[in-house]
Order: sequence, then structure tokens, then C-alpha cells
Amino acid sequence: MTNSVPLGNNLKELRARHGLTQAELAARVGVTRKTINTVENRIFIPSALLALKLAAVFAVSVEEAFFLAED
Amino acid sequence: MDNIEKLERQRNQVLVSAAISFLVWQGATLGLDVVDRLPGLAPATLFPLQLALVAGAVAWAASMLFLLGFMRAVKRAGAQSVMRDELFLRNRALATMYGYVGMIAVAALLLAAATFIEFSAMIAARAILITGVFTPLVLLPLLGRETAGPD
Repeated sequence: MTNSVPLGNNLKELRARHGLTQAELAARVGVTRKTINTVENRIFIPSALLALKLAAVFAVSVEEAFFLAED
Repeated sequence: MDNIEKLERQRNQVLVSAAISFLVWQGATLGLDVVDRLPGLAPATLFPLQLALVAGAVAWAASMLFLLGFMRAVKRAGAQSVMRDELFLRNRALATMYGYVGMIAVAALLLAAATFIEFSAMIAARAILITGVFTPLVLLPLLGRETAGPD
């Protein structure tokens, strides 16, 4: 699948800043690593609930973790 | 590879084995339904289909046992909710939708074909059933594979 969803994110940077792997982040929010991977690579749009959980892990607002992407 | 990824891989294997065994089992049954209507066919020519029918049915039963074992493994790992996360639910919904569309397409093809050739309702029903069961079972692991990019 090559089409990116119109929801950008800073998950990779946030993970790096907090020293978390995709698997560790996935375990913290209760999803599979694949789900984190597909969100990060803009293949899958997460639900509002998952977006809130992800933002909460990094102690940032949802807007800091996710943004509307132009491309 | 962590435990969850092992379970995901196991689920994909169970689904693919169930899909293939169902296709072999019901495909052979469909084949027997079709050749049954052909006049002057030697009984020996039915043997490969009968063999595929039995092998497919046994493999289907085995894959259902594997499925039970997999469900127990998920329960033991306490991973029920992780294994049914939103990506999986999205992929399952897509796979089911494609199965439904496939069933409609096969039904439409059979209706069109019925104008030119005669076949029993059992053949049509079985063809639609095979499409409806096989398509989602095989698509679900494929959709999961397709959406997995590099870490």
C-alpha cells in the first residue's frame, strides 16, 4: 500500500526522545507493534482513543503528536 | 520476535490453512457436483476429486483444532484485546467486505451463466459459499502483511 493517509505524526521522534521501541510503545497502549508501525508510517489512521493514549504516553497534547498532512 | 508477534504469525497460519483446506474440501465437492452431471464418466476419474474431498475435510477439521489451540494460547497470554486491536478490526472488516462483494460477484456471474448453461442450485450455492468463506480467510492475513512496513 503506497497511499499515505492525510494524518501526519511525530511518533518516531517522540519515541526516540523517550527511548521507546515500537513494541514497547505498543505494549503501553495495548495494541500490536504492527498497529504502531502502520500509524507511524501513515498507512493507518488511529482512532481518537488510540491517539489520546499515544499522546498520553509521551505527555504531550494530541496536536503535538498528530497533525494534518498536506501530501 | 515477541510473544504477540508469534501469536499474530500463528493466527495467520491458522487462517491460511483453514482457507486452503476449505477450498480443497468444498472445491472437490463442487467438482463432484459438476462431473456428476456429465454423462458416461468412468468412476475412476472421480477418484482424485474424492481423495481431495476427504483430504480437504480432514485438513479443515485439523485447522479448526489449531484454531482452538490458538485461542487457548491467546487466552493464556492474556492477549485477547491486543490481538483484536483496531488495526485487526479494520482489516477484518475489509476482508469481510471483500468476501461479501466476491459473493455478490459470483452470484451475478452464475445468474448470467444460467442463461446459457444449466446447473443445479447446489452448484451455485456451493460456489457462493466457497467465495464467501475463502476470500475473508485468505485476505485477512494478506491485509495484515500488506500494512506492515519497516520498523
